[in-house]
Amino acid sequence: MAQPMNPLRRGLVEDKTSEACAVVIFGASGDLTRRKLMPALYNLAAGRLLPGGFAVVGVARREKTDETFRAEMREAVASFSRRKPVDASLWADFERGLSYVRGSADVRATYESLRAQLERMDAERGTRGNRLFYLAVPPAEFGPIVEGLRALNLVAPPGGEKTGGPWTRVVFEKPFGHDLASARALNDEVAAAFDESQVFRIDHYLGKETVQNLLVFRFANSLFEPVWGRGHVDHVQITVAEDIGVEGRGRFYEQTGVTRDIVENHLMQLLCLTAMEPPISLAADAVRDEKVKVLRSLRKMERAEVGRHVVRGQYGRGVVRGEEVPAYREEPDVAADSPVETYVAMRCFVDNWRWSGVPFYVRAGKRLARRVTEIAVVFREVPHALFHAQDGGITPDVLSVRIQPDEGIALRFISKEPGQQTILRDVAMDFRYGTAFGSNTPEAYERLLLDAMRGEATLFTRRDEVEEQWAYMDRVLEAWKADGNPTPPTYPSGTWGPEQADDLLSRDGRRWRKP
Amino acid sequence: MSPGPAAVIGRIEGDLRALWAAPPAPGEVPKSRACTMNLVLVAASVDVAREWVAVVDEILQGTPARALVVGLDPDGPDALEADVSGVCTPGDAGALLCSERVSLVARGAVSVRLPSVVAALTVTDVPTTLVWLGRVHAHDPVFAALASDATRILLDASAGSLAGLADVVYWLRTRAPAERPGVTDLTWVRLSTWQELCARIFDEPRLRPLAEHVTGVTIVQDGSPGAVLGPQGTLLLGWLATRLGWNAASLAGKLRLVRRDGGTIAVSLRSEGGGAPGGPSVRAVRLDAGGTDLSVHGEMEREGNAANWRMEVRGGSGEPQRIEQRVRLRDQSNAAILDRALHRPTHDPALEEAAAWVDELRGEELACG
Repeated sequence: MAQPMNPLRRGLVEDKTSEACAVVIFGASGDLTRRKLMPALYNLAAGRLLPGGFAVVGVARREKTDETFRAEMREAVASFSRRKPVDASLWADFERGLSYVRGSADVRATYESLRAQLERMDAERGTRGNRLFYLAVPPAEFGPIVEGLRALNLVAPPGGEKTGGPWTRVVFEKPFGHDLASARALNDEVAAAFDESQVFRIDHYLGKETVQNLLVFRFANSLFEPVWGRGHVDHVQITVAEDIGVEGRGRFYEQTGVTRDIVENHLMQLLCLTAMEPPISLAADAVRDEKVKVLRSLRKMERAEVGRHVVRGQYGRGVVRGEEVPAYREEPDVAADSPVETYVAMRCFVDNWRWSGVPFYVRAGKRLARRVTEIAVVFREVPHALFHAQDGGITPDVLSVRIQPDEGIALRFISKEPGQQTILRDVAMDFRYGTAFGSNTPEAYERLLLDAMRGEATLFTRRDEVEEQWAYMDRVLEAWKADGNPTPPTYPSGTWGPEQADDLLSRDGRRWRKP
Repeated sequence: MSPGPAAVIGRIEGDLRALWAAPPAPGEVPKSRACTMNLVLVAASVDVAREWVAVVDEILQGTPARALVVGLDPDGPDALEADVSGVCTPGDAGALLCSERVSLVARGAVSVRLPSVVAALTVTDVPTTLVWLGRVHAHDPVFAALASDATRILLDASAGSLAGLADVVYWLRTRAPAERPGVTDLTWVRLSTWQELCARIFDEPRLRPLAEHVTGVTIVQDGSPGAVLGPQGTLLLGWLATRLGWNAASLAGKLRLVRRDGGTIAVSLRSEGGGAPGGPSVRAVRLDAGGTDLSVHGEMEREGNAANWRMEVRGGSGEPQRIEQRVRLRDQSNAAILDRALHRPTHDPALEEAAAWVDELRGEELACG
């Protein structure tokens, strides 16, 4: 039977914590825990957003005591938290809830120790049997952990929160699979232990304020939605550019490439949020239903067409931010003849009523000219040119949503330069989050961890979304494989990618922005 | 003879333009102006307005705005005095991000004409928040005119009165929804930690139904025995009552609270530990709920900048379950409270309901033991 809501929670506008719970981090010795998860939890504690009954249990292979784990986490928070310095008294309260369990993912004893520790936390910290398992581990360990949790009865039945019983949720870090078949197999494995309502697949881009603002921008303003489609939009460009290289992750990158690392997940999600129809509500499934429709509307590329619509690249030596940098093949743990792509540009079409015929040019790459993620909606030119090139010419209006850095929205349009002559100039209306709202906004992981604790799944990807993303990208990956995975063209580090990517647009009479 | 308000406003406009017109001198950090709202703070006296200038400057560090800080001196000679400042904080890319603060003193007849002064000085197309510090009457033409142009009204029942808060709530209810500013109260915002701590008692699913069966409530405030329960404690009582469906009734001049099911609630109001600057603050809350099968006792007591929160659940034949937590309290400085008030949702029905419930207690004796 459904439990009544706590009447004293109704209408509380501050301190929106989750219910009491224990967060279990598998991979507690890893970089993600140090750099993102623990600072995020500390920041939630500083914002008084953690529940009264709360504990964190770290699980990893290395031998260490609770005290060592706490000391390491304090150092991590001191280095990576957006709140500096660490508040000593806040940390003293926070670290009382931190503990550590040593163990490997494939060993039953790990889960026995974990269960005992969680029962202790229930008694000592009031965590009430509620668990959030966070898998900050390589994908190869997802299966053994899921099975270990199931075998030791650490997974509560779904819907516990509605009936007054304990709840269990599990968060998976990307990459979720390396192709459609593996993603399906992994989903099946997860489904054997968890109901889909308990599964939270993280794409940290969705936790960024500007990405969330995309829904607000599109659906809370009446100005933009009427022009958001084929009648007014010439094309859309989505860029996820990094100026760094693989940064010591050569081994990982040799297995993934930019397609699996960025395009299949972050870039596809940005495309979905740009192209989706208004959802009937902001409920998790309503939003995700609309994103899935976009993915299903993506025009399938036949194998022979991939070469015309997709360009790969690999960075060579070059200069980035004034520094000489090595080529990808000169990076540690990268094969000297590696065919792995560090750059991908694609021309996609969303074949539905709104976007018919409007190309979406998307690109992602490493060692590009600068670090920037943006969505640029380029509008059609005016139907009749009253002004001429000698007046300054007319460039199309562009609405750009800057995801990072300098998060904000800019609208470029044309204005007359003051004076006796009619001279046209591009000008921009520029809204920046940092300027308008201050720069101390929550990190993506803070929002996502809190949402997972609260059971709010809107910002997490659903099974069918992940599989549709892979289904689309699999055609590209299979085409490359069928061609023998040819060596991609190289581009000098510090540029905007290979020349072939420019050709992709110039064939259509367009060109890439230099954001 | 001092210049008239129009001349002063002209000078203010010139000063505001001058703040941003000059290019940075060599070696000077460039400034960029930002404005996300008009923050109009009106204090009942010049001294109070001066005290709040520092608070407003602190707010402007995180919320770029044009702030008008107004001190009223209705008994003084007719005059408008003004001082214009840029309030800057390091922004992106090494530039300074700057807000504008205009400090005003409206004396004599000018204080009555304050709405036209404010209208001339606010930035268009951004929301306006009116902070009114002092007693308030919704039909006071100055307040009504300023409030009508605001998106949000912030009051402080501790600086004014609960009756004034209720008066504004009723007045707002007469306005069309599209033209109704939201109302928040700084005393109410100070209570949010207590509200959350009270709510924790009933978070556990099996205990939620007990919220409908509260048998006793104790509110302890700073103050001397015999003092009247202050606005903070009274609003907390109003919040509990409206969330849990309690009705107030008098019996032999003593306040009684009655649950939805007709059961009565033992009410204990106490003052302890002497007075505190800024009015009596809540220092402890205790709640008892349930019956013979299952009962819960929750209590929370302020200690420094934290609260000790305890809960004891009794039920069945087992041992009582006890949980204790030490919870850090939020910063209660004026700047922190104003900042949180500015970032809450504009409309807060729980406050409106609590204020109306409390207003019905007018005349009831809320003396503390």
